[in-house]
Amino acid sequence: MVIGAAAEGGGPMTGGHLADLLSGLLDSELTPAARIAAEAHADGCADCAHELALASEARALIRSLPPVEPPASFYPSVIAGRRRRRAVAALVGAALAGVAIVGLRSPQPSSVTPPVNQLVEDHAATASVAGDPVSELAPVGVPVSFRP
Amino acid sequence: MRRLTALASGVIAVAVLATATPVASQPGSPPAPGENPLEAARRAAGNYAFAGQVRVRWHDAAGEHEQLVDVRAGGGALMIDGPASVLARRDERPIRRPGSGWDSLWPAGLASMGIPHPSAKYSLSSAAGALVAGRPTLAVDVRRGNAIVERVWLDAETGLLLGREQYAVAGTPVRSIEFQQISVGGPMWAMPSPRVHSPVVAPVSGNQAPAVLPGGYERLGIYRRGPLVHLIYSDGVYGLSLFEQAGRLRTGALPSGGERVAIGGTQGWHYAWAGGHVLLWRGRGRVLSAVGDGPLTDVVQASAGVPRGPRPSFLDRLRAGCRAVLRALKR
Repeated sequence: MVIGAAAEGGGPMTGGHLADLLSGLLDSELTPAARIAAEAHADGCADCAHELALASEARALIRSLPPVEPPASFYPSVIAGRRRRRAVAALVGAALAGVAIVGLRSPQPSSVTPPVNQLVEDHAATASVAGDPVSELAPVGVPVSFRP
Repeated sequence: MRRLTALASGVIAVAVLATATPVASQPGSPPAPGENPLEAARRAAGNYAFAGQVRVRWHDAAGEHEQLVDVRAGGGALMIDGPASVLARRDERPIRRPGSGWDSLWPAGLASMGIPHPSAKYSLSSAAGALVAGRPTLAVDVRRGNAIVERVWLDAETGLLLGREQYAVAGTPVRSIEFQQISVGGPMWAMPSPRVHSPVVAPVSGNQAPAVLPGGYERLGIYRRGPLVHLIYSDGVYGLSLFEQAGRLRTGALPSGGERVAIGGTQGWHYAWAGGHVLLWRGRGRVLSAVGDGPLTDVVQASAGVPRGPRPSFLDRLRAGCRAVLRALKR
């Protein structure tokens, strides 16, 4: 009966009942229009009125409980957890620093682009000493050109 | 060239040279039975004055190519004169590249390398060949198994190499040189005598390079020129040069036109040029290159037998790992 108004204020109604709107109604989180519609629904719906009463009672009970002191070991365990995380972070940092030092201080292998023109000329020169000079050197008379 | 060879086939009985006992022949004469024909050609080139024009043909990824170069020889020196010029005098090899002055390609006095006899790997047979540049020839077929890999035409009178053709597996020519014209004897041609600054090329001892590579390539010498170590191999017909250089291969600056090729367990790059094939690949802490004038399959097979380098120590691996982590963090 108040589905549309209630939905606008704080969420859907389920099967025409307040359902999840109950907590919003108890916590005053519904819009005025939704609150009015929800209260009107509860007034005319025995199921929702009962649910509302139970939820209100449970809420009051919980709020009436005394505060609980944590056990004595709680805070040290939290602090130890923090220390453990710090130790792990320190170890990771040290490892990275070690990697950086070793990696940066070790000699880098130089990048090499083979001088292909020179290689084929050197080959032809030495092959012409060992073999027939005409057939080995004639290809060098053709311009040797390997370009990137 | 094949047409000429076809004319010659069947005309003269074939003399099998490979199993004959090597006999030294007279300077400037055709090879004696059992003699390496390329050795005979080298000897003849040093003993005759001649001049002519040579056609160089080759095939690479861009297609077929052809270039004419002039050749003249006299007084123990030989000059190749094309877009680039190369002078062979004694064991020295000055070069003049297009647009440049004379430079030293190889210094004198380092290389006097005897090549192995090819009979361990190839069978040689010779027959009278067709005319090349108008001169009678002796055609020498170089076979591996049943497949012909090379045919050499030697001048029947002098032993000079007048033509050379290399074949692919299917028997198709892939590379050749051939005299288009030649005159032997007559006046001595004037040779340039450039004074060039020789690079420092020093013999290397103690290198752990294999004495023999797969395919029967025997090591003839090892030299260092700057950062490059040059290992020279031969199988009696073809030369193979291996180059080692410390460092890491910078693939981004490689010459264009390379094709990927598997070299043993690693990937490399292959380039073809007028004189043969070039391979580049990564070793352990070094860059390896091979230049060979034999068939590509031979050059790849021999290169696969080159050790990639010593295994890195634990400290080296740790350093490499740290550098890899830093590179990953920089991204």
